[in-house]
Amino acid sequence: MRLIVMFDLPVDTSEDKRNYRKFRKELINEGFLMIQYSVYARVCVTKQSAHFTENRIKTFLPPRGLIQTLTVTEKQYNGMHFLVGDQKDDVRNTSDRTVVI
Amino acid sequence: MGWRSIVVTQHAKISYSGRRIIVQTNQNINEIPIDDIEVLLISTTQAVITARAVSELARASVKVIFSDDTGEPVCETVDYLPNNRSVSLLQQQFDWDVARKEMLWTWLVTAKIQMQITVLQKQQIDTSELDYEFHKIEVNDISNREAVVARKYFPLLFEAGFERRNFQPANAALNYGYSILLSFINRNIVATGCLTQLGIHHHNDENQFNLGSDLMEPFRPIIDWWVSEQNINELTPEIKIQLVDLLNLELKFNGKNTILRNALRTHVTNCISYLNGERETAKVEVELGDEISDHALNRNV
Repeated sequence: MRLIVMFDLPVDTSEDKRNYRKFRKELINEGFLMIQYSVYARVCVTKQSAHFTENRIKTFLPPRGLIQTLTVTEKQYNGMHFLVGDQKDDVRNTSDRTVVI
Repeated sequence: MGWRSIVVTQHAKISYSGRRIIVQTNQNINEIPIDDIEVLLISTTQAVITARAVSELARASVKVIFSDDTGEPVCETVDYLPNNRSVSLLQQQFDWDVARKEMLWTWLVTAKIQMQITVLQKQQIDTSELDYEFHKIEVNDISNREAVVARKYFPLLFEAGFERRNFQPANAALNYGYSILLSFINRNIVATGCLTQLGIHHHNDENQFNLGSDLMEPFRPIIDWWVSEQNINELTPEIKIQLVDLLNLELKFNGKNTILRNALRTHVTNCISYLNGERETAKVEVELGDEISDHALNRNV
Protein backbone atom coordinates (compact mmCIF):
# COMPACT_ATOMS: atom_id res chain seq x y z
CA MET A 1 0.00 0.00 0.00
CA ARG A 2 1.33 3.44 -0.89
CA LEU A 3 0.52 6.77 0.59
CA ILE A 4 1.05 9.54 -1.94
CA VAL A 5 1.33 13.18 -0.89
CA MET A 6 1.03 15.90 -3.51
CA PHE A 7 1.48 19.55 -2.73
CA ASP A 8 1.60 23.07 -4.09
CA LEU A 9 3.05 25.51 -1.64
CA PRO A 10 3.47 29.26 -2.04
CA VAL A 11 7.07 30.50 -2.22
CA ASP A 12 6.37 34.24 -2.41
CA THR A 13 7.82 35.42 0.85
CA SER A 14 10.87 34.16 2.71
CA GLU A 15 8.54 32.84 5.40
CA ASP A 16 6.63 30.83 2.79
CA LYS A 17 9.91 29.40 1.54
CA ARG A 18 10.93 28.46 5.04
CA ASN A 19 7.56 26.75 5.65
CA TYR A 20 7.95 24.86 2.40
CA ARG A 21 11.50 23.68 3.22
CA LYS A 22 10.43 22.59 6.68
CA PHE A 23 7.45 20.64 5.38
CA ARG A 24 9.48 18.91 2.70
CA LYS A 25 12.21 17.96 5.12
CA GLU A 26 9.70 16.53 7.60
CA LEU A 27 8.13 14.49 4.81
CA ILE A 28 11.52 12.99 3.94
CA ASN A 29 12.16 12.28 7.62
CA GLU A 30 8.87 10.36 7.70
CA GLY A 31 10.36 8.04 5.09
CA PHE A 32 8.81 9.56 1.97
CA LEU A 33 10.55 9.41 -1.37
CA MET A 34 10.22 12.13 -3.98
CA ILE A 35 8.88 10.35 -7.05
CA GLN A 36 8.77 13.67 -8.87
CA TYR A 37 8.74 17.33 -7.87
CA SER A 38 6.00 17.93 -5.28
CA VAL A 39 4.86 14.29 -5.37
CA TYR A 40 6.04 12.06 -2.53
CA ALA A 41 5.23 8.42 -1.81
CA ARG A 42 5.81 5.97 1.00
CA VAL A 43 5.19 2.25 1.49
CA CYS A 44 2.74 1.45 4.30
CA VAL A 45 2.16 -2.11 5.45
CA THR A 46 -1.55 -1.77 6.14
CA LYS A 47 -4.37 0.68 5.74
CA GLN A 48 -4.05 1.51 9.43
CA SER A 49 -0.41 2.39 9.11
CA ALA A 50 -1.19 4.58 6.09
CA HIS A 51 -3.78 6.32 8.22
CA PHE A 52 -1.28 6.65 11.05
CA THR A 53 1.33 8.17 8.73
CA GLU A 54 -1.24 10.60 7.41
CA ASN A 55 -2.05 11.69 10.95
CA ARG A 56 1.64 12.27 11.57
CA ILE A 57 1.80 14.50 8.52
CA LYS A 58 -1.08 16.51 9.96
CA THR A 59 1.20 17.52 12.83
CA PHE A 60 3.61 19.49 10.64
CA LEU A 61 1.45 21.11 7.96
CA PRO A 62 2.36 24.58 6.68
CA PRO A 63 -0.30 27.28 7.21
CA ARG A 64 -1.10 27.94 3.53
CA GLY A 65 -1.06 26.15 0.19
CA LEU A 66 -2.60 22.97 -1.18
CA ILE A 67 -1.68 19.49 0.08
CA GLN A 68 -3.52 16.33 -0.85
CA THR A 69 -2.98 12.65 -0.10
CA LEU A 70 -4.00 9.49 -1.90
CA THR A 71 -3.70 5.88 -0.79
CA VAL A 72 -3.34 3.21 -3.46
CA THR A 73 -2.64 -0.51 -3.26
CA GLU A 74 0.70 -1.99 -4.32
CA LYS A 75 -0.90 -3.41 -7.43
CA GLN A 76 -2.36 -0.08 -8.47
CA TYR A 77 0.90 1.73 -7.74
CA ASN A 78 2.95 -0.75 -9.72
CA GLY A 79 0.50 -0.50 -12.58
CA MET A 80 1.60 3.10 -13.09
CA HIS A 81 2.58 3.85 -16.70
CA PHE A 82 5.73 5.76 -17.48
CA LEU A 83 5.02 7.64 -20.68
CA VAL A 84 8.33 9.47 -20.51
CA GLY A 85 11.12 8.60 -18.09
CA ASP A 86 11.67 5.72 -15.67
CA GLN A 87 10.71 4.65 -12.21
CA LYS A 88 12.94 5.78 -9.31
CA ASP A 89 15.39 3.05 -8.46
CA ASP A 90 15.44 3.31 -4.67
CA VAL A 91 14.92 0.94 -1.76
CA ARG A 92 12.11 3.18 -0.54
CA ASN A 93 10.31 2.64 -3.83
CA THR A 94 10.05 -1.13 -3.33
CA SER A 95 7.93 -3.15 -0.95
CA ASP A 96 10.32 -6.12 -0.65
CA ARG A 97 10.40 -7.62 2.79
CA THR A 98 14.02 -8.66 2.41
CA VAL A 99 16.42 -6.13 0.97
CA VAL A 100 19.91 -7.24 0.05
CA ILE A 101 22.49 -4.52 -0.30
CA MET B 1 6.54 -1.36 13.45
CA GLY B 2 9.17 -2.87 11.21
CA TRP B 3 8.50 -5.26 8.36
CA ARG B 4 11.77 -5.33 6.50
CA SER B 5 14.96 -7.36 6.83
CA ILE B 6 18.01 -5.59 5.50
CA VAL B 7 21.01 -7.72 4.59
CA VAL B 8 24.29 -5.91 3.99
CA THR B 9 26.63 -8.13 1.99
CA GLN B 10 29.29 -5.79 0.69
CA HIS B 11 31.75 -3.10 1.62
CA ALA B 12 29.49 -0.38 3.03
CA LYS B 13 29.18 2.44 5.49
CA ILE B 14 26.05 2.42 7.60
CA SER B 15 25.09 5.71 9.16
CA TYR B 16 22.04 7.60 10.36
CA SER B 17 20.43 10.79 9.17
CA GLY B 18 16.93 12.14 9.61
CA ARG B 19 15.21 8.94 10.81
CA ARG B 20 16.76 7.01 7.97
CA ILE B 21 19.56 4.49 7.88
CA ILE B 22 21.97 5.36 5.11
CA VAL B 23 23.85 2.45 3.58
CA GLN B 24 26.58 3.80 1.39
CA THR B 25 28.25 1.30 -0.93
CA ASN B 26 30.83 1.75 -3.67
CA GLN B 27 28.09 2.01 -6.27
CA ASN B 28 25.25 3.89 -4.66
CA ILE B 29 23.55 5.20 -1.54
CA ASN B 30 20.53 3.42 -0.07
CA GLU B 31 18.30 5.19 2.39
CA ILE B 32 15.88 3.13 4.45
CA PRO B 33 13.37 4.62 6.91
CA ILE B 34 14.33 3.33 10.35
CA ASP B 35 10.69 2.55 11.26
CA ASP B 36 10.50 0.04 8.40
CA ILE B 37 13.45 -2.05 9.56
CA GLU B 38 12.94 -5.07 11.76
CA VAL B 39 16.28 -6.84 11.44
CA LEU B 40 19.55 -5.48 10.11
CA LEU B 41 21.90 -8.31 9.25
CA ILE B 42 25.45 -7.31 8.51
CA SER B 43 26.73 -10.45 6.84
CA THR B 44 30.16 -9.12 5.99
CA THR B 45 33.11 -7.88 8.02
CA GLN B 46 33.74 -5.13 5.49
CA ALA B 47 30.98 -2.86 6.72
CA VAL B 48 31.40 0.13 8.99
CA ILE B 49 28.57 1.27 11.25
CA THR B 50 28.44 4.52 13.16
CA ALA B 51 27.69 4.69 16.87
CA ARG B 52 24.77 7.00 16.14
CA ALA B 53 23.27 4.40 13.82
CA VAL B 54 23.65 1.67 16.44
CA SER B 55 22.01 3.79 19.12
CA GLU B 56 19.14 4.91 16.89
CA LEU B 57 18.56 1.32 15.75
CA ALA B 58 18.46 0.21 19.38
CA ARG B 59 15.98 2.93 20.17
CA ALA B 60 13.75 1.77 17.32
CA SER B 61 14.19 -1.79 18.74
CA VAL B 62 15.79 -3.11 15.58
CA LYS B 63 17.94 -6.21 15.97
CA VAL B 64 21.37 -5.67 14.50
CA ILE B 65 23.20 -8.93 13.82
CA PHE B 66 26.91 -9.00 13.10
CA SER B 67 28.73 -11.80 11.32
CA ASP B 68 32.28 -13.12 11.41
CA ASP B 69 34.64 -13.42 8.44
CA THR B 70 32.92 -16.59 7.29
CA GLY B 71 29.58 -14.78 7.23
CA GLU B 72 28.24 -16.76 10.17
CA PRO B 73 26.18 -14.60 12.61
CA VAL B 74 28.26 -14.16 15.77
CA CYS B 75 26.57 -11.50 17.86
CA GLU B 76 23.60 -9.22 18.04
CA THR B 77 22.68 -5.98 19.73
CA VAL B 78 20.52 -6.10 22.83
CA ASP B 79 18.82 -2.91 23.96
CA TYR B 80 20.20 -1.88 27.27
CA LEU B 81 17.15 -0.07 28.50
CA PRO B 82 14.04 -0.73 26.50
CA ASN B 83 11.58 2.00 27.41
CA ASN B 84 9.04 -0.55 28.61
CA ARG B 85 11.29 -2.42 31.03
CA SER B 86 10.25 -1.69 34.57
CA VAL B 87 11.20 -3.20 37.90
CA SER B 88 7.69 -4.54 38.41
CA LEU B 89 7.82 -6.27 35.02
CA LEU B 90 11.16 -7.89 35.85
CA GLN B 91 9.89 -8.92 39.27
CA GLN B 92 6.97 -10.56 37.51
CA GLN B 93 9.37 -12.47 35.30
CA PHE B 94 11.41 -13.69 38.28
CA ASP B 95 8.19 -14.79 39.99
CA TRP B 96 6.79 -16.73 37.03
CA ASP B 97 4.70 -19.59 38.37
CA VAL B 98 6.59 -22.91 38.19
CA ALA B 99 3.49 -24.81 37.13
CA ARG B 100 2.96 -22.38 34.27
CA LYS B 101 6.58 -22.63 33.18
CA GLU B 102 6.34 -26.42 33.14
CA MET B 103 3.06 -26.35 31.26
CA LEU B 104 4.40 -23.96 28.65
CA TRP B 105 7.53 -26.06 28.16
CA THR B 106 5.28 -29.10 27.63
CA TRP B 107 3.34 -27.25 24.94
CA LEU B 108 6.50 -26.02 23.27
CA VAL B 109 8.01 -29.50 23.16
CA THR B 110 4.76 -31.02 21.94
CA ALA B 111 4.51 -28.43 19.19
CA LYS B 112 8.14 -28.94 18.24
CA ILE B 113 7.84 -32.71 17.93
CA GLN B 114 4.60 -32.31 16.04
CA MET B 115 6.35 -29.98 13.62
CA GLN B 116 9.23 -32.43 13.24
CA ILE B 117 6.75 -35.17 12.39
CA THR B 118 5.00 -32.89 9.90
CA VAL B 119 8.30 -32.04 8.23
CA LEU B 120 9.20 -35.73 7.91
CA GLN B 121 5.75 -36.48 6.48
CA LYS B 122 6.25 -33.77 3.90
CA GLN B 123 9.39 -35.57 2.75
CA GLN B 124 7.46 -38.88 2.70
CA ILE B 125 9.55 -40.36 5.49
CA ASP B 126 8.17 -42.95 7.90
CA THR B 127 7.44 -41.27 11.24
CA SER B 128 6.33 -44.26 13.33
CA GLU B 129 9.41 -44.07 15.58
CA LEU B 130 8.74 -40.42 16.32
CA ASP B 131 5.01 -41.01 16.80
CA TYR B 132 5.87 -43.60 19.43
CA GLU B 133 8.04 -41.16 21.37
CA PHE B 134 5.53 -38.37 20.86
CA HIS B 135 2.89 -40.27 22.83
CA LYS B 136 5.25 -40.63 25.75
CA ILE B 137 5.57 -36.89 26.44
CA GLU B 138 4.92 -36.03 30.06
CA VAL B 139 4.37 -32.70 31.76
CA ASN B 140 7.58 -30.63 31.66
CA ASP B 141 9.02 -33.39 29.45
CA ILE B 142 10.71 -35.04 32.45
CA SER B 143 11.70 -38.03 30.37
CA ASN B 144 13.41 -35.67 27.90
CA ARG B 145 11.62 -36.96 24.82
CA GLU B 146 12.74 -33.79 23.05
CA ALA B 147 16.36 -34.96 22.90
CA VAL B 148 15.40 -38.54 22.11
CA VAL B 149 13.26 -37.43 19.20
CA ALA B 150 15.94 -35.05 17.93
CA ARG B 151 18.49 -37.87 17.85
CA LYS B 152 16.17 -39.92 15.65
CA TYR B 153 14.81 -37.04 13.61
CA PHE B 154 17.98 -35.59 12.10
CA PRO B 155 19.33 -38.84 10.62
CA LEU B 156 15.85 -39.53 9.20
CA LEU B 157 15.54 -36.09 7.63
CA PHE B 158 19.05 -35.90 6.26
CA GLU B 159 20.92 -39.17 5.99
CA ALA B 160 21.91 -42.04 8.25
CA GLY B 161 24.79 -40.99 10.44
CA PHE B 162 23.95 -37.30 10.26
CA GLU B 163 25.00 -35.57 13.43
CA ARG B 164 24.28 -32.03 14.51
CA ARG B 165 27.84 -31.64 15.77
CA ASN B 166 29.51 -32.37 12.43
CA PHE B 167 31.02 -29.65 10.31
CA GLN B 168 28.80 -30.34 7.36
CA PRO B 169 27.51 -27.60 5.09
CA ALA B 170 23.93 -28.59 5.96
CA ASN B 171 24.74 -28.09 9.63
CA ALA B 172 26.25 -24.70 8.91
CA ALA B 173 23.05 -23.75 7.09
CA LEU B 174 20.92 -25.01 9.99
CA ASN B 175 22.98 -23.03 12.49
CA TYR B 176 22.68 -19.96 10.33
CA GLY B 177 18.92 -20.33 10.08
CA TYR B 178 18.54 -20.97 13.80
CA SER B 179 20.57 -17.94 14.76
CA ILE B 180 18.45 -15.69 12.54
CA LEU B 181 15.33 -17.20 14.12
CA LEU B 182 16.77 -16.78 17.62
CA SER B 183 17.71 -13.14 17.04
CA PHE B 184 14.25 -12.44 15.78
CA ILE B 185 12.62 -14.08 18.81
CA ASN B 186 15.00 -12.18 21.08
CA ARG B 187 13.98 -8.93 19.46
CA ASN B 188 10.38 -9.67 20.28
CA ILE B 189 11.17 -10.70 23.85
CA VAL B 190 13.08 -7.50 24.46
CA ALA B 191 10.18 -5.57 22.94
CA THR B 192 7.86 -6.99 25.61
CA GLY B 193 10.28 -5.76 28.29
CA CYS B 194 11.41 -9.18 29.51
CA LEU B 195 14.93 -10.42 30.10
CA THR B 196 16.24 -12.87 27.53
CA GLN B 197 18.58 -14.51 30.03
CA LEU B 198 15.91 -15.97 32.28
CA GLY B 199 14.42 -18.99 30.53
CA ILE B 200 11.74 -21.46 31.48
CA HIS B 201 13.66 -24.62 30.66
CA HIS B 202 17.05 -23.66 29.26
CA HIS B 203 19.19 -22.42 32.11
CA ASN B 204 22.69 -22.39 30.74
CA ASP B 205 24.76 -19.92 32.70
CA GLU B 206 26.62 -18.81 29.60
CA ASN B 207 23.59 -18.52 27.36
CA GLN B 208 22.38 -14.94 27.24
CA PHE B 209 19.28 -16.02 25.39
CA ASN B 210 17.78 -18.83 27.45
CA LEU B 211 14.24 -17.56 27.04
CA GLY B 212 14.72 -17.11 23.31
CA SER B 213 16.08 -20.66 23.04
CA ASP B 214 12.95 -21.92 24.82
CA LEU B 215 10.41 -20.04 22.77
CA MET B 216 12.00 -20.73 19.36
CA GLU B 217 11.76 -24.52 19.67
CA PRO B 218 8.51 -25.10 17.73
CA PHE B 219 9.81 -23.12 14.78
CA ARG B 220 13.20 -24.78 14.32
CA PRO B 221 11.75 -27.55 12.09
CA ILE B 222 10.80 -24.91 9.51
CA ILE B 223 14.52 -24.24 9.00
CA ASP B 224 15.21 -28.01 8.93
CA TRP B 225 12.54 -28.41 6.28
CA TRP B 226 13.95 -25.75 4.01
CA VAL B 227 17.53 -26.97 4.42
CA SER B 228 16.50 -30.59 3.75
CA GLU B 229 14.91 -29.51 0.47
CA GLN B 230 18.12 -27.93 -0.76
CA ASN B 231 21.19 -29.69 -1.92
CA ILE B 232 23.77 -27.81 0.08
CA ASN B 233 27.42 -28.36 -0.72
CA GLU B 234 28.57 -25.04 0.62
CA LEU B 235 27.02 -22.23 2.63
CA THR B 236 26.87 -19.66 -0.13
CA PRO B 237 25.64 -16.05 0.22
CA GLU B 238 22.50 -16.97 -1.75
CA ILE B 239 21.63 -19.67 0.76
CA LYS B 240 22.15 -17.27 3.63
CA ILE B 241 19.89 -14.68 2.06
CA GLN B 242 17.22 -17.27 1.38
CA LEU B 243 17.42 -18.35 5.02
CA VAL B 244 16.76 -14.75 6.06
CA ASP B 245 13.92 -14.61 3.55
CA LEU B 246 12.33 -17.59 5.31
CA LEU B 247 10.97 -15.09 7.84
CA ASN B 248 8.47 -14.23 5.11
CA LEU B 249 7.19 -17.78 4.73
CA GLU B 250 3.41 -17.96 4.54
CA LEU B 251 1.86 -20.34 7.04
CA LYS B 252 -1.15 -20.83 9.25
CA PHE B 253 -0.60 -19.99 12.91
CA ASN B 254 -3.37 -20.78 15.41
CA GLY B 255 -5.84 -20.95 12.54
CA LYS B 256 -4.89 -17.64 10.93
CA ASN B 257 -3.04 -17.12 7.68
CA THR B 258 0.07 -15.11 8.33
CA ILE B 259 3.79 -15.00 7.62
CA LEU B 260 6.46 -16.47 9.86
CA ARG B 261 7.79 -13.16 11.23
CA ASN B 262 4.29 -12.10 12.33
CA ALA B 263 3.55 -15.56 13.73
CA LEU B 264 6.73 -15.38 15.82
CA ARG B 265 5.70 -12.01 17.19
CA THR B 266 2.27 -13.31 18.20
CA HIS B 267 3.84 -16.46 19.63
CA VAL B 268 6.23 -14.52 21.90
CA THR B 269 3.45 -12.24 23.15
CA ASN B 270 1.18 -15.23 23.80
CA CYS B 271 3.83 -17.12 25.76
CA ILE B 272 4.83 -14.17 27.90
CA SER B 273 1.30 -13.14 28.73
CA TYR B 274 0.58 -16.78 29.65
CA LEU B 275 3.57 -16.79 32.00
CA ASN B 276 2.42 -13.48 33.46
CA GLY B 277 -0.93 -15.07 34.17
CA GLU B 278 -2.82 -12.81 31.76
CA ARG B 279 -4.19 -15.64 29.67
CA GLU B 280 -5.00 -19.27 30.23
CA THR B 281 -3.28 -20.96 27.30
CA ALA B 282 -0.55 -20.28 24.81
CA LYS B 283 -1.33 -22.74 22.09
CA VAL B 284 1.05 -23.27 19.23
CA GLU B 285 -0.61 -24.67 16.14
CA VAL B 286 1.35 -24.30 12.97
CA GLU B 287 0.16 -25.52 9.61
CA LEU B 288 2.59 -25.47 6.74
CA GLY B 289 1.93 -25.28 3.04
CA ASP B 290 2.88 -28.05 0.65
CA GLU B 291 6.33 -26.91 -0.29
CA ILE B 292 8.59 -23.95 0.23
CA SER B 293 8.48 -22.59 -3.26
CA ASP B 294 8.86 -18.97 -4.20
CA HIS B 295 5.09 -18.72 -3.95
CA ALA B 296 5.24 -19.66 -0.28
CA LEU B 297 7.36 -16.62 0.44
CA ASN B 298 5.49 -13.38 0.83
CA ARG B 299 8.14 -11.03 -0.41
CA ASN B 300 6.01 -7.92 -0.72
CA VAL B 301 3.81 -5.83 1.48
